[in-house]
Amino acid sequence: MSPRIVPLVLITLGVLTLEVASAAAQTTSEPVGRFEVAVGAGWLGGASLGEQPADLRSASATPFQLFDTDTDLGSSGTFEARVGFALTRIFGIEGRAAISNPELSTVITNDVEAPGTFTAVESIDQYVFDGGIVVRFGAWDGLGLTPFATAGLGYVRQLHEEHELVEEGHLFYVGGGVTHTMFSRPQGLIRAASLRADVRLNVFSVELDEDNRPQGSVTGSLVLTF
Amino acid sequence: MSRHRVSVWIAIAVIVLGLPGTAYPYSHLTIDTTTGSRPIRWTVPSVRWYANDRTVLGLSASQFQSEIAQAFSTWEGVPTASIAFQFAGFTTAVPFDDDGLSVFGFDSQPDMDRVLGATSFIVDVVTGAIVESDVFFNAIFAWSATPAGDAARFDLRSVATHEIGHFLGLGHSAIGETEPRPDGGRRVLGSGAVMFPISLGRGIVTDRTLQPDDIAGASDLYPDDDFRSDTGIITGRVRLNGAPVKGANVIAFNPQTGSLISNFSNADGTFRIAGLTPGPHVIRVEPIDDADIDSFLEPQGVNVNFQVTFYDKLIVAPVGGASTSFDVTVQSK
Repeated sequence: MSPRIVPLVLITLGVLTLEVASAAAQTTSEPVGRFEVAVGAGWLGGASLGEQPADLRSASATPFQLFDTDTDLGSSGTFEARVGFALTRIFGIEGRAAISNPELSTVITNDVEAPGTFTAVESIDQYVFDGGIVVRFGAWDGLGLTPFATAGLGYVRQLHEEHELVEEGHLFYVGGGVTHTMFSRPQGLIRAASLRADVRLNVFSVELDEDNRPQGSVTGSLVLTF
Repeated sequence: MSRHRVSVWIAIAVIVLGLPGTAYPYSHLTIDTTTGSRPIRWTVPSVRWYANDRTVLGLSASQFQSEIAQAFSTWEGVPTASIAFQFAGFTTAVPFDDDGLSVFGFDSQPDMDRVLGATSFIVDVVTGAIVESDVFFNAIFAWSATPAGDAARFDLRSVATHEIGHFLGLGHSAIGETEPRPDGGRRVLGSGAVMFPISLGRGIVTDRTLQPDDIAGASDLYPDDDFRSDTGIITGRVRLNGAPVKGANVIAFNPQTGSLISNFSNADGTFRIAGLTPGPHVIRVEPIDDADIDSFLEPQGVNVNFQVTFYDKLIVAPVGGASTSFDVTVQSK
């Protein structure tokens, strides 16, 4: 685990715990249902993978640059499925599978023989399997919204174009959002249905990019509670 | 010609010894054997070499032997290649004699006033196995074994590292940029491989250190147990107006590591670049325009009349395999 990430996760969880202590004092009732199933879609932000010059050795201490490159992983749509289990009315755990299809692009500039700017691209299939905790706070009266916070970690699998290379890695995330309950009832198979909006900061660490790579995401999902 | 203009290294041995083979568009030297074209390579587990005991100004025989031995160690240190050498002793035998000994030594060749060193081979024309290889260093130049280099002399270990690349069977790499000199020679602006055919100049010791292109070439020729499984290959074809392009220098650039590894396209336009770190690569195709074509390969049929071209897709080198072949279309100049 990256030293830069650990404090972020721990501090976030610490804040959540304090919030929960006060929220827990407000209610001790059981959750409407224990199990949640959700499907959703959204947007996964891009990230810069950095610049890299194509340097040649020269007769001086300064390298001779053949050309320069700047590589980015583009933003993309994402689809996800999620299952959750409510431990209490406030605490829950959840797991998620998400797929996205970002484009990796390298912009080439300053070639010594070819004036202009060139771009080389490839498509990546990215699969994420993650899990963590969810903490629900008290509902905002009048708005019909219930805020929550999440944090967790997961596994990343990237398949390069034509599936000729698989790269693996991990991610950490923190985030939050709101849910809006469309209906709930004490009996029946489906106890509640709600809409959920998530905003997350995902920190990926994949072989493609040896550094930690922060990427934001926004998703909306339909949640069924059983 | 002035000695100051002398800066060209060539591996002329195949021509000098009149072998039937020629250098084909590939980073390895090849020969036409009775069973087809083959790369030439050593097949013995440890290659024995001798040092000629001739001295030149400023260098003793033991200094000469020490520098050559350290250049051999550089190639032995390639982690993905399996190559071993053994110093067999000093000798009065001279390079380029067909005597069964692989000899490194100085020789004065005033008529080769642009050649710092050269490598010759005797090759089994059935198997492509190297039987003997000699390397000479042109004694008309001033040489240095100074650790930091001598601004007035050529660094012996750097040139030896280059020539030992030939000794192994490697051809010249075209990763480099030059500009013409007023006197007709070429000045190196940048070099991306020890096996680039033109020296960076006097006092420069950077060619003591192998570059990714050198390491890939040696490893492809003498792979260790893990080389094939740990690295990837990119394959493709270069075309101009629908016709194959021979002799295009195709460079694979890894935007994560910054490494540059190249190879030439064959007569049918196909190319193969091995020893790549798995991952996406930028593909740059350029004509041979930074040294004489025959420094690299048989000039007949080589097309240099096209523009530098970047392929519009990143090409992924897979782990332990080859990419799906793709076509790069270049435009005429």
